[in-house]
Amino acid sequence: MQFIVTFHEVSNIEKLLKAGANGFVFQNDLITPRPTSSLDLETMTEALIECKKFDAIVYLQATLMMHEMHIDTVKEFLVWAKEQQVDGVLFADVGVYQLAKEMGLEALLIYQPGSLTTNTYDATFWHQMGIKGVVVAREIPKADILQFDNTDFEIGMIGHGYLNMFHSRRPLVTNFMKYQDKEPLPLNQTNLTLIEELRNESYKVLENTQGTHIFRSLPMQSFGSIKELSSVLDTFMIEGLFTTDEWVAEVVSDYISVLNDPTMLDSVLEKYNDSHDTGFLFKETVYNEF
Amino acid sequence: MFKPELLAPAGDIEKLKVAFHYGADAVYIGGKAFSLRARASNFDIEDIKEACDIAHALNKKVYVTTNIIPHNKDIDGLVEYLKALEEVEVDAIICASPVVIETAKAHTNLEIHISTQLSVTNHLGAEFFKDMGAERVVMARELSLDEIRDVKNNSDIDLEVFIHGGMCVSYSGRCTLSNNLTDRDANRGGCAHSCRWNYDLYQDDDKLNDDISFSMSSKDLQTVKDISNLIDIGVHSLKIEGRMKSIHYIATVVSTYRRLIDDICDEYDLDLPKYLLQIKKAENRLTSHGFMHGMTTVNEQLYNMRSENPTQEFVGIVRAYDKETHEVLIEQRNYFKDGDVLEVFSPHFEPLTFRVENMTDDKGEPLDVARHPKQLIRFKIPFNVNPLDILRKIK
Repeated sequence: MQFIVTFHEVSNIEKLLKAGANGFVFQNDLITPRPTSSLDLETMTEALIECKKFDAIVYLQATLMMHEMHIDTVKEFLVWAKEQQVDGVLFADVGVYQLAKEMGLEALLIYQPGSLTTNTYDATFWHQMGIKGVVVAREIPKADILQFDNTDFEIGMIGHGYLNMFHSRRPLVTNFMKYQDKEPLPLNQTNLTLIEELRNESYKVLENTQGTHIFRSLPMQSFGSIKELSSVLDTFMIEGLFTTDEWVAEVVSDYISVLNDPTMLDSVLEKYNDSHDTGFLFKETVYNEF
Repeated sequence: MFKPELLAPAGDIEKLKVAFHYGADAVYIGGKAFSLRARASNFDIEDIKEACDIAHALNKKVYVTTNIIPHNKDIDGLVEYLKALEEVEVDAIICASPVVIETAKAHTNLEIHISTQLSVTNHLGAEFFKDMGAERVVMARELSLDEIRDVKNNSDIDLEVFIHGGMCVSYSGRCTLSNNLTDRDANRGGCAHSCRWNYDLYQDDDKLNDDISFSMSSKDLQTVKDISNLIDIGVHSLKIEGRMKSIHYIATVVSTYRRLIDDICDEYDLDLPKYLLQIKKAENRLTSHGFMHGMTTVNEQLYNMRSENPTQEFVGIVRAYDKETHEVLIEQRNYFKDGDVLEVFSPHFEPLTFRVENMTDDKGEPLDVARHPKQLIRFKIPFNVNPLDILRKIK
């Protein structure tokens, strides 16, 4: 299993690799809904050279909800991905698949819609469509993830960090400030939170050019399950948004410690338990039983 | 000019009959399995057969939603269910998951429509599903008229577009707000509408809202002024949201869009205020044009759950009418009393009013007030009415 991380600074790539990361997600705010850091193509090329020096994996994240006006931009990034021979392109919109297929790039694609990859039958469908892999939905329990056992198709999971739970195309923060006759806030503010009137939880909210994003109240951690998950996962992704590269490096290092020495689990959990939760790993959602 | 299909929701057989009576060309319904809207009064196979029989006798269509995003354990019985849908001759299924689509293709000849749960936002996505064998794509509700036109111009798959009703404020199918806040799976019919709850907005420790709560909630979609453009674009089907809405809502909204579509296609001069006034009679939430004219603004948002009461109250539905004696048999839905002035809302004529006099129950016992839901009541109406016409009290 490979540890793939998002990152803030190209200069930290080597540090993250030394901590145990195997690869990186390259992001740009034109094609990535919630980038940890937005790299232009020139910077991406420099970062890619740095990664290839260390044989690190490079994925381009083109997981936007693609509207007609975005198609040419996405194409530009796909051309770059092809020229630079990246290892994978994450996508969430089947239109991106169609575009990549026209360019003969479908074998690089990894389907990461966030919520739709909930069953192994759909994973098989995508395998047959000739893509490289899928990232499982963020809302399925561990028992379901463990069923994604496929030896020749890449299965990934975002298992650590702040996970998004809502994406609207609407500029909801801007609209709300305007409704109150208050000064609008600049985009990409990372210090905004929502608190629901009956729940003692705060949810990070981020508005950017791709809309408004709301995140789970606590970052997710998977230390107690990493051994089991590693039996089916090819990639374990760590989301660095709202944190630092130093934090991500420490997280990767802790996962590797737990994998190499299971007796480390308790001490690692002690570090994360109060500030993190386990997402849906142990939580079943209901739908017609209420 | 291509006349698009008017597609209405139907939560039960009665709503289906009302939707057809008021002019829907097709309805969409949910089965007991594999459908979102778990709390809508969904149909079992016998009900679906009855729905199809009713529809086909009228040369109309029934689509069945099979649009959950299933987990492995939800797949059991899918083949049998899809075969049963084919056997009762549903006209199409509305799908959101490859496993449902591929199973339908492998085991049936059911026509496949792609649900808005898949948030198709561009022509390449539409083409993808065409290549998969779908006949129609329900477009994402985040598209403007210009974007819909671009999709239509670059893809020849049939497009279905929402024209009225509630809107997900998130990209449909991608939201796990309900999963996270209530453990209810939005993509399997359990959405708790957590986006409509009230929140406080903070920047660090500073609260940014004063008397008003932050809400993601949107106004309902209403596109009376945009129907001409959608017809001009060549959209195949115009869809009304709301399988859980009332009979009165369905009758009013379907009737308004029916007349509007017919008037546009017959090239009559349009009196848009008339349609807007009519549709307002069913509104219980403020409305806007959504994304039709581009990016939404503050005007498309709903704060403090501001709502409007419908201007008219649904009090009964006509079950039978005797043209000789002018006696009507109605089924009560809301309180009214002898002496009230009621309005008959019918697809066959402009609303007409009359005064209720000499009410009796169905056994002929005199009544002063109609207070029991579903009670059968008789009185006279001095003009011809039809079964399924609606009686409304003017507020």
